[in-house]
Amino acid sequence: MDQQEKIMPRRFRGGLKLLPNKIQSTLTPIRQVPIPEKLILPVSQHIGREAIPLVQPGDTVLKGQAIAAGDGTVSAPVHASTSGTIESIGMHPVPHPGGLSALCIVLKADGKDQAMDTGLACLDYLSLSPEEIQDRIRSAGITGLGGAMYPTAAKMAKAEDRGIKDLIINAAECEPLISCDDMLIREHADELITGIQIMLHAISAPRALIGIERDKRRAIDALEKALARIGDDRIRLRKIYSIYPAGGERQLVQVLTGQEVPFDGYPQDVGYLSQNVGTALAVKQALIDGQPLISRITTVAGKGVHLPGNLEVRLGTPIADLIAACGGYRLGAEALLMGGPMMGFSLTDDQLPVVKGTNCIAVAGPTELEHTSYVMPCIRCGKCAQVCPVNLQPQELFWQVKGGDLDKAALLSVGDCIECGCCDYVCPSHIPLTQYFRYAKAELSALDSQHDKSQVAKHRFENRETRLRIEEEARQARLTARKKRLADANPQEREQQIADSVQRAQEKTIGTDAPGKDPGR
Amino acid sequence: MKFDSQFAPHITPSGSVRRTMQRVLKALIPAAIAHVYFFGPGLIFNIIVVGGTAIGAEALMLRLRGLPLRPFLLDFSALVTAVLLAFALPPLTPWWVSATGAIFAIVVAKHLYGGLGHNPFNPAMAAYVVLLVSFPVAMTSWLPPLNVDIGISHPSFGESLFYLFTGHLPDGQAIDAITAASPLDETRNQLAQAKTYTEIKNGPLFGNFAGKGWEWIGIYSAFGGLWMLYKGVIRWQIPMFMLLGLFVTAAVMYLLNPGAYVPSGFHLFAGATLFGAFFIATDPVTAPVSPLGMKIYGAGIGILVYVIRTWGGFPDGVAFAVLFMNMTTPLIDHYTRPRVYGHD
Repeated sequence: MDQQEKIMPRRFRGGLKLLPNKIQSTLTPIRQVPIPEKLILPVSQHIGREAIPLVQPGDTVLKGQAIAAGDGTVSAPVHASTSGTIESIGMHPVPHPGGLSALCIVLKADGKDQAMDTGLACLDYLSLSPEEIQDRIRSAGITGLGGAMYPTAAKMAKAEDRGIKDLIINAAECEPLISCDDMLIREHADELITGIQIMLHAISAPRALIGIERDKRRAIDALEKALARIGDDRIRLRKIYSIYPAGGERQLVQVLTGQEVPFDGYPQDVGYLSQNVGTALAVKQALIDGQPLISRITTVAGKGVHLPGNLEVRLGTPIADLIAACGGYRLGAEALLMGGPMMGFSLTDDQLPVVKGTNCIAVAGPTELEHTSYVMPCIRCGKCAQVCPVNLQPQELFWQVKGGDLDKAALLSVGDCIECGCCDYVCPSHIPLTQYFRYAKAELSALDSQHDKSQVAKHRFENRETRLRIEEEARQARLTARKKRLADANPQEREQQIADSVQRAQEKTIGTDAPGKDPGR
Repeated sequence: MKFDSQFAPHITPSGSVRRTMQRVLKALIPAAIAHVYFFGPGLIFNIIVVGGTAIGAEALMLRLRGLPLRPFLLDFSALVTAVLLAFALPPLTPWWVSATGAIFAIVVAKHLYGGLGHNPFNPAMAAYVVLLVSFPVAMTSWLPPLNVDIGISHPSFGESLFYLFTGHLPDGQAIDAITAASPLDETRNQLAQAKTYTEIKNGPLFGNFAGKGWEWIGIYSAFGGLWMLYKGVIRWQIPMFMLLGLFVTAAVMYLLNPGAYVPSGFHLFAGATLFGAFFIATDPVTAPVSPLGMKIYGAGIGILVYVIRTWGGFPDGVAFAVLFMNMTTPLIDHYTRPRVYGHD
């Protein structure tokens, strides 16, 4: 217990002390959003390959029924969030920084909310092997609920071979406004611990560290009480300083373990596996309650809504319904964000659905956003470099990206930028640095895949050339050998050989439509 | 409901170039008061002439370059350059000298290299050096500080103004009549005549640590500088290592031969050391960014200041040392990039 009292040292460099602005959304308990008339469920609510629809328009489905199947390891199925009828399957705008449309299954709710037995539950989960638990987690469509939406089972795969030392439970929630993890812990601490226990079994890890910002006192209280009740000393609480972005996966690993994650690797590579608290709760709900991932807790915050708070909401619910559940927009609501103010992206329409990664809907009020100020030149003050948690030199990267030298930017590790926005915030010239780096990363990865494609084409071409050359050489060799034999033979044998070859040629001509033409070419 | 699209982060930035520059100007106030107290109203005249010319030149260049006037004039960067240059000028400087400096700083050293953020050399120091080689007499004619009795009476307000416009005093006298060597100059000359530091220190121009008046301008500059440190306008590495570089070099030389060199404490308070450490060397545009880079840069300036003061052709070396180290900034930046997270 002594160990749990002290606060972890800061360890990662840079970062910002930001006003949390979380009180407004934590005054009331988690509220339920009513079942909407229509739910829009994108088949891709995760990183990886799109899920494949399993239903047809007109089908009736039950709550918890899989309506799209995961395609391969890095993918996740999608389940009906309530019972009803499939209305259509087609392209629909989805929450995406680029405002894209994607394949969605539209479900018309029948209001009965009739659930099916998913067969996911197994109260005695210890009787299952880690692989079996991972399979159930995969079938439950669980992805990282902190925002990244990486399929949880895919992250856990081969954990045993890699030898995970610590399961890291990310409860830091460092970004302003967002409080869904905080409220989840306050209200579901026991279930959360059960989820963590299941995860520990699923990855055969000896210990779990819950990293939480020290100013979330009520959540810490709830966790301490739950831990005391359950008495599992594999699970430890670790308080950390509230410095944004301490909840970034790599930063949290560094704070809790003192180890850095290699730039080209994952925490699993150094023996840590990190999961969000929401994910742990989803695992509990799947393995104990038999409920796949069909709902989540989402924060609605900002000065643009009347009653900010946390909502339990079915996936696929239009954002407008969440706003309605929070008393509606206030006059002058200016911007709608998915995610927090630092890393969230803006949405242009509130008819977009809540997806698995929707941890927060922020509505900016009239005074919350800066209005287009003139972007001044960089004065090299270096404040950006001071706050960069990855230790990049943003001022230099900006120079290279602006000058169009993406290769140089790549050399200076622009690809390691975690897009936390700290540099933007402190830049006195108001340069949209993160935007420059996002652009550079996108361009570089496009160039990369182009390069890959051209490499594949080049490789194919070279292989073909080699193959043709080898065939040609073999043919020449055969020809030479035959001529030699002909020359060495006595006149009678020569006659015989010529007759044979004429016959062979005739047979060949009869046997094929296009004599002498290699169809493979 | 429909909304506009915006880029993350969706949060109001914490500062602005304008606020940074305003803070530099505020931090200069204590030193300015000390300057006026010891050397009369000359600094105010200089600030008006250099400042006015600099803002005019800035506006002209912005217009010629097709840039908006408002954000760039209101960022106060031209005014900061102007005030720094004004501090470097002798209290009595004819207006055309000051104006030439202002124009060179803004037009040549700043805008011809691309304007704010793009100049490789500190504009105020580049202009100062141009003036020093173009108008050597005007630029080295310092008034003795007040309360120093060396038989020279300080010019009155009217006389000072007359000199500013005409370049000579109302009674037709040249400037030499009322000026004296600066303490650094004096020290050089005396050392050359084989006098010891103790003898030199007893001269009327010397105060507690270094030159009378000068030492106090330095100390007040340091107060302003510490406030800038507290406000995060500058970082500690450059001033600290510049002072350290100068102090250590001076200490080594003094210990080797106390008769031929002055003690290091003198160097810290003499001339433009403290002013330069906090206000000149810390110009972010022309200095390296990484912590290690700033330390190397600062130490380099400190050592060069000593070298120029001791063996160079000019009594003070801050301007030359800063300009020289400006040249090394890209190199230092290149070799002192910190290790990125997760890389070996």
